[in-house]
Amino acid sequence: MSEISLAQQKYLSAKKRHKRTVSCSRILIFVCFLALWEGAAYLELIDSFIFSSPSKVGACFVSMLLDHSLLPHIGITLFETVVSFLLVILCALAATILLWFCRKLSETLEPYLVILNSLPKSALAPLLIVWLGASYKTIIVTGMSVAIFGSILSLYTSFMAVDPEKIKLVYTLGGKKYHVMTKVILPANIPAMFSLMKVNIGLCLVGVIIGEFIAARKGLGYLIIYGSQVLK
Amino acid sequence: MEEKLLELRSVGYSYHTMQGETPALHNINFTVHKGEFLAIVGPSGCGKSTLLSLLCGLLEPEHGSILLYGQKLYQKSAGNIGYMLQHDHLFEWRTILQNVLLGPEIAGKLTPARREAVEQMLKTYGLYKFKDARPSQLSGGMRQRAALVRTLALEPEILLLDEPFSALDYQTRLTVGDDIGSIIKKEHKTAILVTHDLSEAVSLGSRVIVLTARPGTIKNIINIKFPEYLTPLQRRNAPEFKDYFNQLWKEMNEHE
Repeated sequence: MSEISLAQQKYLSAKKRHKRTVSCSRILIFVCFLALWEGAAYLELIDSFIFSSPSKVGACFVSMLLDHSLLPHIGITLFETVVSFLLVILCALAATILLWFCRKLSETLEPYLVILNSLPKSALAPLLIVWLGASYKTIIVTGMSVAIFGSILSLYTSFMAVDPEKIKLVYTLGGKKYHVMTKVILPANIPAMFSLMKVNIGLCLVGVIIGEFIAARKGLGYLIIYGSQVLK
Repeated sequence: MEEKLLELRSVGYSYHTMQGETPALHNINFTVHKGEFLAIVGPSGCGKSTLLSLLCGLLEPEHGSILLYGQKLYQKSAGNIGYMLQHDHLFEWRTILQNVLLGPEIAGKLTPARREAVEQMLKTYGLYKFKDARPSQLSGGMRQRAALVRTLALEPEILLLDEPFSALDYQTRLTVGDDIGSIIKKEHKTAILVTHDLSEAVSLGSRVIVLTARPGTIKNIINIKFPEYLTPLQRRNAPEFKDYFNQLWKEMNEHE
């Protein structure tokens, strides 16, 4: 191991300081927010009956934990979100691969995908319940419906954005369309898939909560509706 | 007489768009013999790259025919013809070794013997210690050499080179040109180089075909003769070099 030069040491410590500043600031913002909220409620600048306060939220959280009325709801919502998220990724990937292989199909279906994607899915949720019955499956489908069409559209766009010269390279090496998919398109789109996943996990949660608003006896969406009705 | 490897008979090709038809190549005739290094020069847009795509079977000629060993060249006769593109297009998600093994992998010929041979090539061309590196860690010249090894990994008889040095800076270009010229000579390959750099054509080629502007037709074929032992870089210093260069220059700039 060679000696680390002074300049390098300086560089490293500057980097470290930068990192520390960022993580400290993050925590600071959160603490300030809580303090401001609590303070405003305590000084009655805001109505704590409507806006609540961090201490009340904490107390409620603990009491619900103790009488076991929270964890099952969190669990069911988490389960539905994760299942619909995984299904969205799988279905979107399969559909996009199919569309990529068949240009005629993708050109035919494109306007339909745009329409399906712009449909207000939350308005469709009651219909889904009528069609599929009030069960956790319906809620998973609601969660999927929010994310899937957008995922297909954006994944297809990034499939098509792969450098055509890279595709040509596979053909010059004697590859077929199948090789283009497995050797170029899929590996080149792994970053795109990850960023899609980041967006989708949130979308699926939104869809699941909407589904639970309407049709569930369990889950966080149900708790929210229950709470708002008690408030009235 | 050397063995006839590739023969083009009145080959023509046009591109079609909704706006109309653009003829790219018209009535191209030439033969390529085993072991020769053919250079093709021409003004930009003369259909040079189209010609290479036709030669390796990515496109099918609209007119005429291309014969390989006297047999009509259908689609990609993988393994016989290797195509080196303008940019290296090494995949960042693969190591250098995985990149150069892409051809055999696709062809389903990834035998231990083949792997051995490719690793040997990497050793010969100074890339072995980078075999587990990512392409972005390599210099432009090394990347280009890796791209050549990738093309050679399928052991093609004919190499098609599409301005393989044009993306490099001048100095690297000269050394990599020298490298790649020597490698091709050493591996006893037949090569067809497309370029718009006249000095590159003279320093590497044993024959130069001059194409006219679009639609590309053959204007002239010039034989290049240097003493056998000269490397491409040494050729540039030989007295004949500037004569050939001027001759090509004149051909290129004569208007019809």
